[in-house]
Amino acid sequence: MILLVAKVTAVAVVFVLSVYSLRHFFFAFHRLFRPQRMNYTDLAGFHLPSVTVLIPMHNEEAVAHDVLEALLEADYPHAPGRLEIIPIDDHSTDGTGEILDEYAARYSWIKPLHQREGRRGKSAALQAATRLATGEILIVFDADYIPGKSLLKFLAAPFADPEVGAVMGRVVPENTASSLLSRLLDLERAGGYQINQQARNNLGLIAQYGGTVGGVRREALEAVGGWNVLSLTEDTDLTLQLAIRGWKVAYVNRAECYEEVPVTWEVRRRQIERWAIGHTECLRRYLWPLLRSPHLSRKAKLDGVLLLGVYLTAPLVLLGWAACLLLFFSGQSFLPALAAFFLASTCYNAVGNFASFFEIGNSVILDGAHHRVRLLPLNIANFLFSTVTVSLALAKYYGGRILGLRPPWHKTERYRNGNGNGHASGNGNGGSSGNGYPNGRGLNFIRARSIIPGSPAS
Amino acid sequence: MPFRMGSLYEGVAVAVCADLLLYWQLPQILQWHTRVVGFLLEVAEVPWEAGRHITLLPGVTAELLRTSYLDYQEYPFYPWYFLGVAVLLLAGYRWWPAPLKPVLLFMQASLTITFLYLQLVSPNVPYSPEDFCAIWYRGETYLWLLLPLLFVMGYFILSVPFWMKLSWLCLLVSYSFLWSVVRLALALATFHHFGSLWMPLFYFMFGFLADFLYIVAFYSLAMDRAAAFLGKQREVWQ
Repeated sequence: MILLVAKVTAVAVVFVLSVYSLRHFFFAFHRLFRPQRMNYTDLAGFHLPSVTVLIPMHNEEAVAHDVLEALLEADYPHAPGRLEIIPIDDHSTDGTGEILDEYAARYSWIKPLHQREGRRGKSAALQAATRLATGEILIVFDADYIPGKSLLKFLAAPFADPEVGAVMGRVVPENTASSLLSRLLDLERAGGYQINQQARNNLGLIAQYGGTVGGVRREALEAVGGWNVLSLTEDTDLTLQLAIRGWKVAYVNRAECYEEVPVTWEVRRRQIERWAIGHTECLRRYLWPLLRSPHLSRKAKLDGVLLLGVYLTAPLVLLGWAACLLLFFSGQSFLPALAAFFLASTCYNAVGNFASFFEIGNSVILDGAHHRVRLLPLNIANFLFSTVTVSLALAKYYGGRILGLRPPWHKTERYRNGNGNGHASGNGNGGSSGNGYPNGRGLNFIRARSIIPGSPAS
Repeated sequence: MPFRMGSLYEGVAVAVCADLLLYWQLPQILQWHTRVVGFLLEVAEVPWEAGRHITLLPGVTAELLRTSYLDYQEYPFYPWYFLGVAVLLLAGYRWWPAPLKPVLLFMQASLTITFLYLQLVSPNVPYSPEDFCAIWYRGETYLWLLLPLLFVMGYFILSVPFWMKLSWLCLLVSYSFLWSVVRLALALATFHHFGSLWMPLFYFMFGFLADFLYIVAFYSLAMDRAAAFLGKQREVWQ
């Protein structure tokens, strides 16, 4: 009986992982060979709705200057009623609040919100700021992001289509040289955005609003009841709510924005722990409404289910391995099932959560940046790390649910300007911060590389 | 354009030809495989003899190698010694670099489970080294036949010269033969010198997982060279 269960488990795991593998191959081939869907970039600069930029910040003094300076350089009209910026000081204990007040004194369209009481966390901060915002479109950036000069125009353009409820831009890591992990995450991001998100956009599936470098139409946000303050991943939550109610999420590959990716494995662990738990909560909350939504096609529903279940593949892989181990010791282990299992699981997962090696390889060709692809085999470390971390996180989550505990929200640490431990020390005078991350990167570094066209240094 | 759909059809045709060629040459390749593994075992001072013949595919048979395990009844301290090392590694778990931790954990889990199996269930694992050899040959043979198809799907869609694509495919397949020989010899030598405790580790971690690693490694190198070549064409494709 136990052996039968083990065999059925192994075959079921092989099947599920094969579906994910095929999905990745299909996306990649579609992205490479099928016509690209109109992504509204031609409208950039012609459709200029009133925009409010929201920037949630919790102890962000190391990076607050960069994001605000970059937004000041944005070529979106700064006329009253056209652009406002609301940086949210969410219970900061460092100098973030003072920095924001400094900017507010100099620029009337920067209106900081100081959250000192009430619920903490990104979604609660966004909810509070949304009440104050006057813009028709709300564009969200995390504090470590550095928007390019024309980014707001690219993100605002798709809203010319009244069916578009949210827009997502492309996230590009800027601290790739900091560690092996940041280089591996750069590969993962390239495959995930250049191929995966673009293909989903082309196919009319559910492109994912990622919670930063993206915008949401105020009307659509209100229609779904605002930001879900109980969610650890308010972005996935919003994506699903919009899709279920028939709003489109558009992905604009050209709208690139630069971010800091985790440099240490510990920070990465906490980040994917939060994503895994938040995503799984969304699965529990929205699976049934998604399947019943009259606004989504069958293929969009199937893709939505696969998207929501993506973190469950980690414990599935472990379960599959356990089943194989049992079969091995019972003398029943034989090749066809095991071979298929290992090929399927590794093919899908060996290079990260969201992008198969094939997607990453092709994204490198599309981006025209080839040296980084040599690191692809090392992503096996990322795969094993993610598999174990996600499995433990989900075990903790379900354990917590049984005990009635809420999972905590962890802020991702910043490394810029010498801030390697979540504590600001930034002097910005160059040199190294002691964690391998050169001081003074960020906006100046990007300007020096002329990544923001038209910026003073370019 | 850096990608051409037509090249994929060309690639599938190449994969079919490569598979036909492989199928035709498999008996010779397997014979060579056995001979070289035998030679490496002699270098490692592992006595071996020719084992039974197995049929892998219609018309394709392979001769297995028969070796032995270290007898734990004669050397009862060996399993305890390895278990001790595993426990020591586990004690130092927090100081290991984070990306290596899961690998270490899987290694320890494999050794510990096998140790418990040998102590509590049976003094021997369910497979002899000859059985292991049969499992290995069967898996590798299927993989070799799959390899051209896997590779052409990923690489032949690029607009790079045909000779470049074919060279990478030949390199990959040749490396696959060589690496299989080395790993099998290493596994059999380990079983002979250190016993059956190590079998699941070789079966799970140095089997298909290791195969996948070099496939991705070749793919990444091939893509790197292809991107460099395409870059020189000075095309603007975005």
